[in-house]
Amino acid sequence: MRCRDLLLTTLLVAFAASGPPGAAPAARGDEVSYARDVQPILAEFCWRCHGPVAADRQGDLRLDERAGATAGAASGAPAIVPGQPAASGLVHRVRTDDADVVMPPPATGRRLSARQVAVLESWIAAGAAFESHWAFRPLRRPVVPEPAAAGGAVHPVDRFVFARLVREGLPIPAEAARGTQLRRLSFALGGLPPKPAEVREFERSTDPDAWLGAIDRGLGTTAYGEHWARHWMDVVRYADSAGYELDYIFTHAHRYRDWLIRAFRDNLPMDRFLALQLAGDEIAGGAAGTSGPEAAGEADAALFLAVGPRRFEGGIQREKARNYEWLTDVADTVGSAFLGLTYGCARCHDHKYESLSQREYFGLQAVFADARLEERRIGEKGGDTRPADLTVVARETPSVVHLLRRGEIDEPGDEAAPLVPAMLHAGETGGPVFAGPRRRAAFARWLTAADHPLTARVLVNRVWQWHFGAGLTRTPNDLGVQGEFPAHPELLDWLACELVESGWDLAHLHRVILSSRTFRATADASAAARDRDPENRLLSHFPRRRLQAEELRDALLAVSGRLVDEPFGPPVVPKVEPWVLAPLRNQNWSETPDPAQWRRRTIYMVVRRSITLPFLDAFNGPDVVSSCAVRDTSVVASQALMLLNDEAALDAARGVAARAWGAAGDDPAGLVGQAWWLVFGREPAPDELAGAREFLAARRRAWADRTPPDGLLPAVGAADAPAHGVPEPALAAALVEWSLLLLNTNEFCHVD
Amino acid sequence: MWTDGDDGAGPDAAASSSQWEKSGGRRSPDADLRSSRERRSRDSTPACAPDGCAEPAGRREWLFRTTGALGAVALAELLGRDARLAAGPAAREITGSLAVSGGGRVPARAKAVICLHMHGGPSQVDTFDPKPALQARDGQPPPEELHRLQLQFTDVSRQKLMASRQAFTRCGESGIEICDSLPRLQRCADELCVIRSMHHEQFNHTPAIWFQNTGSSLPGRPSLGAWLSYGLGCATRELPAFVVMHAKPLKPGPGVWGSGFLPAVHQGMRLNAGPVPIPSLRPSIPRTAADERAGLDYLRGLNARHAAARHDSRLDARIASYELACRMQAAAPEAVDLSRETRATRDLYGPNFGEQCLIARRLVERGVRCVQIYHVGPDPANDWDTHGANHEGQSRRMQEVDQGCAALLVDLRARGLLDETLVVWGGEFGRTPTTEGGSGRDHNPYGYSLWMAGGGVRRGIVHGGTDDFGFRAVEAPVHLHDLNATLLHLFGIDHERLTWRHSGRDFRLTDVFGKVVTPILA
Repeated sequence: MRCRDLLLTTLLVAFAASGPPGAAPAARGDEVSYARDVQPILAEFCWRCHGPVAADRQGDLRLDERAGATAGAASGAPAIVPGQPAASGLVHRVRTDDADVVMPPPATGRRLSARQVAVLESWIAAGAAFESHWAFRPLRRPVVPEPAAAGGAVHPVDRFVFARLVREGLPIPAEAARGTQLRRLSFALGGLPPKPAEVREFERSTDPDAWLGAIDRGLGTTAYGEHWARHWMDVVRYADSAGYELDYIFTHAHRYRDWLIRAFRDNLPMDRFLALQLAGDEIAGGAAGTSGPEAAGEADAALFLAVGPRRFEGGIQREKARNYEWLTDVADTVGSAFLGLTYGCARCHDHKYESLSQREYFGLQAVFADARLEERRIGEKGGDTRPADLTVVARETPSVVHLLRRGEIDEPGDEAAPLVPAMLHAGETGGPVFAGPRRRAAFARWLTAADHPLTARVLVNRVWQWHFGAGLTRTPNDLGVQGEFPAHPELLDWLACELVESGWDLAHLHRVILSSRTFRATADASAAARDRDPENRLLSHFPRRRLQAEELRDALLAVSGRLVDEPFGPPVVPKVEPWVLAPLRNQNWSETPDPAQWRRRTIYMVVRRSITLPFLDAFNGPDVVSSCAVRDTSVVASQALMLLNDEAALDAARGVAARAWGAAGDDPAGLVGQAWWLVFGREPAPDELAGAREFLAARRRAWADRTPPDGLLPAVGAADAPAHGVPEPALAAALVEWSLLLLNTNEFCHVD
Repeated sequence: MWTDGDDGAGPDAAASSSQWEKSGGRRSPDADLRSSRERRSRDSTPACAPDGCAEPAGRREWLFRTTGALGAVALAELLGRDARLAAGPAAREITGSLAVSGGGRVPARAKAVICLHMHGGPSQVDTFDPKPALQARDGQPPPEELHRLQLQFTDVSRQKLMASRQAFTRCGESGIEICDSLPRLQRCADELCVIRSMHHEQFNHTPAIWFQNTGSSLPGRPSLGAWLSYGLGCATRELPAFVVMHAKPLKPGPGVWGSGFLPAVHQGMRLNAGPVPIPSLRPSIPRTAADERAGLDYLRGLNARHAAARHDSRLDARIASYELACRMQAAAPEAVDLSRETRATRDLYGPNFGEQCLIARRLVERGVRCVQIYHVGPDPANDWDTHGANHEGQSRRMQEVDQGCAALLVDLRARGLLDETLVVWGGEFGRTPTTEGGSGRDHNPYGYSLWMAGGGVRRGIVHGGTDDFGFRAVEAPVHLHDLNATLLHLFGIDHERLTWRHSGRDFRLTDVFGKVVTPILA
């Protein structure tokens, strides 16, 4: 698994309670907050036995709601007497050393820290106000802090962020250099570096609207569609094959990928974007592929339901078991990706921490029981290598879903009605039930209703993460009670309101975020910020990030002029070393014959569940088995080896060398300038220019009496550079070597 | 889009190159922004040696800069052990700071550790902790005192005791009881120090694996290997200090071998399973050592200039990764090449897990500080996490690892390496003596078994014990924090002194806990 498991997200939360300021710290002088400070303690230490699950409840005491917690307990004093910590049984029992009384019980080996006890005491002293969980509360637009409290900032995003910095006594960050800003923006929207001419133009421009213009130029491009589709593909566990032992190729998956690209490019409203993936076939008015290109497109959206792992092996051929595995994949993914909840935890038993029962879990599975996947095996080749084509087909009669004891298919319980959790409907005893036809469409309407507490919050948090490297809450697949309390909860809610009220207009959300000074801030942390905000939770500076695997590979292709910019279509199967294919049982790897195709953007390279392309593996590509919320970013020597030694990097170096030569010929300063603009998007500084000239000259001398290997010669013919002809071999080899080093720099591989 | 001819770097851009000289000063770095220490580091001229990957002179200072605090002590240890690095004024300077900071060290017994992690949780009552009472009361309800234990999936009060179906044998002179599904390991019993009283509080995999690696159930802290790398450096310059092997995805995802808030250079490096452990280890076109050195010196200059004002340990780590990568090109192919072993040795270790154990031995032989192998069965769904069909699952997992574990002990002993190499075998927790469903066992962190061998640990002993049913550690309990304190102790490190200041407080592997388990020290 190359992506942080969503389970780890359940852990981050305790940081907020136990202290290091980096996590989601209380501002100095703040009151104790239930949501930020108290709930994580109760959730971690108490709710397992005194929480939402009635069957697990001990001593008839529940500590997840005020009525239960303040009622007189059978065993003596009420657990909580608001205003009186000393009279509260809870305080006594977490403080005492009496093994018969102390909580949690000694057998668990767990103990509250002194700091955690103090938090509970202050909270009880202040009246022990319970609040519903922040992410389940109705969305209300928070008041934007006054500019005066935010260092004079005008932009709403900045007013939230800077007001916090001011309260913490941290300096408001300066703006990054203009070239740096544009490079950042270009990667944020299109996943590619800016063209040198764009940087020059932006650096020269005095137009106050130049930045907004640059944002608008980035939105609506195919490159933007591709980059944001790739983000979403992480979340929906996209792959072009079934996984498990046989790992059949999917021939349908790329139609879903292409639909995603178009949906982003064309700025499809996000409510419709989500709805079509759940029920595109139903919404399009009938079964998949009925009529017209639009209906076909909408049915392709619903292939979201058909790109998860799928077992074709013998033992599981029973239709019932396969259907259950599919419903499990869909429910778990919808829970994580769309709702930001650890739904899957309620499959074998009621959720231990959320008010999410097993009945409600299977209720979600039942929503999808009105569909099934139709399988078609294509071609006549030997049984194991034929690809599979899946279609989502509406069932006339939904299949019957049972609650399964311990999640075991052989232990069915009651029939599950299609429904959603009551906890998302304050005051109601049960969530809506989708009993009629077209359950998925009804569910999609519920999910994208303007007053849904989670959908917009989850989405906005992801968009923030994809711009800033970390979400406002760093547990994007878990906004539940065990998720991390957001660093800027009001900002998150404000942006969520902005998204909904704009008609779910993602381009609008981008403009709001990207036009802020927070996004345009320098990535260089002040000494105070490094000391007091080392994890940059307060956004005291822009979070520098290493390029993601796809961005890095695409950037190599782009700056070297090697990129074959051809959108859409079946996945490209590139040439790989034989050892990469060793885990493939069937060796079903049919290389795309035209090598030019291997130089298309990474999103078009085949995603196999059983093997990972080495470049993606080295640079922390996504997990493709379940929803991947956050990419890991390691820094290890194997990455250096990949970029120094891999043929793809060398090919990019030949491309950069050829382009520089084509533009500058045998003019040392011109060559350096050209390459600097191509790779870094800026002028070389005088010392860089001098250093580069010196290095090139030395290497040219080193090659003068040797014959460079072919691999070091740029693919440049006289026709490519009519003005300059072909470089002599010693210079050519020096240029390629040098270009390879430029592509290995930290500057090229990071976004500042 | 990016295609030739329309990107502005074409001919008209070239025409403007004459202006570059004029405007170039605009981006000249502001020297005042850099501390003198950094400038010193950057200005150090690398020595160009016949060996293309020879140590650049600036590296020592660079390491000093990126470690700091007790890192100075740590580095001094590295310098003390590595004659090539011990010479020179920088070394004396740093050794000097050892005397000042001193006291963090105790005599070292181990130089390297190999952690064999049985992913999912091996069952103690089916491996190293036989329980007659459990056998006698098979199928009966567990005693009430156990009912309140919190487990992941089951309520103990509603379960039945479930006897082990393994047979046990008293092995070797020590008479340590080991189940018969580990026949080869049985023959190594007299090397083992079995701890039967391990315990902690995390009953789910992800937090438990984090806890085992980092001393915290929360993500974000440095792992043991990272602490060792930080504290002791690497005894080799050609390989990473900390190497991880796993064949299948792990439950907590990657990052459990991360460096947390320690400088990123200390994180573990993963080797691929299968025939090519390190891809792209050789250049696609051959380079001479001189070509290589010239290129890397130039690259390091560019990166150092870029990193100077940025204060970001990830950038520093990336710079270091190139120096290491360069040296690995020479050393690593040999280090992971099992064809250099005799047929007899390869047969001793066997395939798959055994091959990983053999690679681990070759790595520690060459100075790697910490090697972790995570064992998962052939299918990710088939690890040691036997919620169903416990007996069959545990037996198969044991068959998969028995040969490799035993071979590692035999081979390390034969080569005289076992005394300075610590081997630790265990999972993130054990399993319940009670049922889950008909035939499974649930997670159990309250009492479980683990064994250590070599590296300054007593041979042929059993330490601690569980209750009559093997559920809770009751005799000489060893908490995970105690184990980590002991591991550091064996490396000559006082676990209370190996710290890193982060967010205004000093963090350590053992948080504010941990006692060295002295009875198991040789």
